[in-house]
Amino acid sequence: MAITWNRDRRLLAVALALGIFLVDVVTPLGVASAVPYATVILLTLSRPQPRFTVAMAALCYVLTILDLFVSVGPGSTEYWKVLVNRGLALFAITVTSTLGIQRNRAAEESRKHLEVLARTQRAQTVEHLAMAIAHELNQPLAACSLQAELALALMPASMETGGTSQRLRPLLENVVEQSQRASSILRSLRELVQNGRGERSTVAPNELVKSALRWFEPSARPHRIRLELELAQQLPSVVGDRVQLEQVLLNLLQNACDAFLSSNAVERTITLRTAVSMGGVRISVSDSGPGVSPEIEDKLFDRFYTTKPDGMGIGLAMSRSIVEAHGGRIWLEHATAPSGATFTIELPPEAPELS
Amino acid sequence: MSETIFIVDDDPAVSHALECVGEFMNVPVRSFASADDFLMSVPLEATGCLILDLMLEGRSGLDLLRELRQRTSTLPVIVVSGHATVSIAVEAMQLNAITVLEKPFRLNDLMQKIEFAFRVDQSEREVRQEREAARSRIGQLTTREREVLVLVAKGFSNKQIAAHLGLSLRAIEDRRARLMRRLDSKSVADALMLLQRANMQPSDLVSC
Ligand SMILES: Nc1ncnc2c1ncn2[C@@H]1O[C@H](COP(=O)(O)OP(=O)(O)OP(=O)(O)O)[C@@H](O)[C@H]1O
Ligand SMILES: [Mg+2]
Repeated sequence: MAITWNRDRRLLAVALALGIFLVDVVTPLGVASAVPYATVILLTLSRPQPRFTVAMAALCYVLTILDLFVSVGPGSTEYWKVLVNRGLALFAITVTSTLGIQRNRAAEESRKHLEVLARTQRAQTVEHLAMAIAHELNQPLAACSLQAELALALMPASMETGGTSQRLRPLLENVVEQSQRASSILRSLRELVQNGRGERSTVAPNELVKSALRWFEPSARPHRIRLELELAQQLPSVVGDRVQLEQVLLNLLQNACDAFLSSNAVERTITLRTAVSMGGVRISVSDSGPGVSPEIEDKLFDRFYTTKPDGMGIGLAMSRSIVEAHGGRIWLEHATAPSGATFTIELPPEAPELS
Repeated sequence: MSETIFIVDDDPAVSHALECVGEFMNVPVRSFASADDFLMSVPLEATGCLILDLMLEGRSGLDLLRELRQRTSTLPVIVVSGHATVSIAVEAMQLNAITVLEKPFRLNDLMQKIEFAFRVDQSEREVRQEREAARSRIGQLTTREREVLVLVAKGFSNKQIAAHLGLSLRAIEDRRARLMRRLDSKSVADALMLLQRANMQPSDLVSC
C-alpha cells in the first residue's frame, strides 16, 4: 500500500512538473512558474530521503530554463522581464528544496533519538526487572538451602546401610545443590544485564533538563500542560550516563503528567528547577497536581508499587537505582504549595581535574 | 553474660532459617525485621554477633552498621546480602564487619563465621575489661604519685626525680613504693604494661 502510494506521488510530481511546463509554453510570456514548481518540490518532501527531491529540483530547473527559449526569443522587448521571472522561479525551487531537505533531516534525527531513548527505557526496565527478580528469588533460595543443610546436619549418622536416613541424605544433598545452582543462574543473569552498563561523560545539568523537556514537550502539548524552567547559572557539571539521567527526568515528567490526567487537574504546570547544593547539584520537578498522600509516601520508590490501573510501578524504583548508581539521591519533597508533588534529585559534582 | 545471635533481615523465611541455625548451635537468637527495631530493643553492650541483611526496607543494613559504629558499638557483624556490589562490600569491611556473605550461603561457612565472631567479641570484651581494670587502678593514684609515675615512665632515676621535684631521695623512694603497691606492680615494666593496657600515654596521667 505504502509503496504504491509513494510511487503514485512520484508520478504525480513528475506529471505536475511537465503540466506546468506545457501551460508555460502555451500561455504567452509564461508569467511566473515559481509557485507551481515549489508545489512540485513540496510534494516530493513526503519522502525522508533527499534523493528524489534533488532529482525533481533539477528537472524543474531544466524545464524553467528550457521554457525561456521556447516562449520568448532573445531580442524580444519583454525578454528582461521574463529573465527576472525565471530567475525568481529558480530561486524559489532552490530555497524550497534546501529548506525541505533540512527539515526532513532534523525530523529524522529526532526520530532516531526518540528510538534510542525508547530502546534504553526498555533495556533499563528489563535490567531492573532482572535485578529485582534475582534479589527476590535469592531469599527463598537462601532459606531453602540453609534448611536442607540443617536437616542434613541433624540427621543421625546411622551406619546401617539401607536405613531411612541413608536414603534421605542424597535427596537433601540434591536440594542444597540445586538451590545453589539456581542462584548461580541468577548471578550470571545479573552479570549479563549489568554488562556494558553506564557510559560516563560530563553532563551539564541545565542541558540535561532542556533536552529532557525537548523530548517531553510533544506528549505534553495535547494535554495543555505548561512547562516552566528555573535554571541556576554557573552550575557544576556532573558525571554520568546522559541517556539514563535523561530517563530519570522523563519518568518524573511522565508521573506529573499522569497525576494531572488522573485528577483532571485544571491548573497544569510543571516546573523544572536546577540549583547548587551542599551535595552538588539539585534538579527538581514540581507539579501542580494532587500531590502524594502521606500514607503512600514511604512506598513510592518500592518496586512494583503503583496506584495506576496500567502502571508497572517501575518508574520511581528505576529512577532511584539510576540516581544512586551515580552516587546521588532522589526524594519526594514535602509539598509546600497547597498541592502538588516535588521530586528532587541530587547529584555529586564532577570531581575537579587532578593536575 | 550469654552470647546471642542477633538477626536483622526483612525476609521472614531467611530470618527463620537463621533462627534454626542458632538453635542448632545452641545459642540464643533474637531476630528483627528492621534496623530501627534492632536499635530500639538491643543495648549497645550486647554480646554475641549480628547477622545483618544489606537490603532492608527503610533504613539499609549499611546505615545500621554505620550507626552502630558511630555509637561505638564493637558488636561483630556478619553482613549477608542478595547481591553485594564491590563498593558496598568494601565499605562494610571498613566498618569492621567480620565478613560479607552472599546469599545463599552454606551452613558451614556461616557457622564458622559465627564462631569466629564470638571469639572476636570475647577478646574484644577481655581487652575492654582489662582496660577498665587498669584505668581504675591508675585512677586511685594521687596527683603527686602520678607526677612520679610520669617521670619513672620517661626513664628518670630516683635521684634525678628528686632533683627535678626538689624533694629528698627518701621521699621519692617512699612515694614510688606506695604507687607501685597501689598499681599492684612489682617492677617498672609492670607499671608501664598497665599504662599500655589502659591505653594511656604518660602525658595523659597529668591531666586526669
Ligand atoms: N507527581 C506525582 N504526583 C502524584 N503521585 C505520584 C507522582 N509521581 C508518582 N506518584 C505516585 O507514585 C506511584 C509510583 O510511581 P512510579 O513512576 O514508580 O510507577 P507508575 O508511574 O505507577 O508506573 P510506571 O512508571 O512503571 O509506568 C504512582 O503510581 C503514583 O501513585
Ligand atoms: Mg511512572
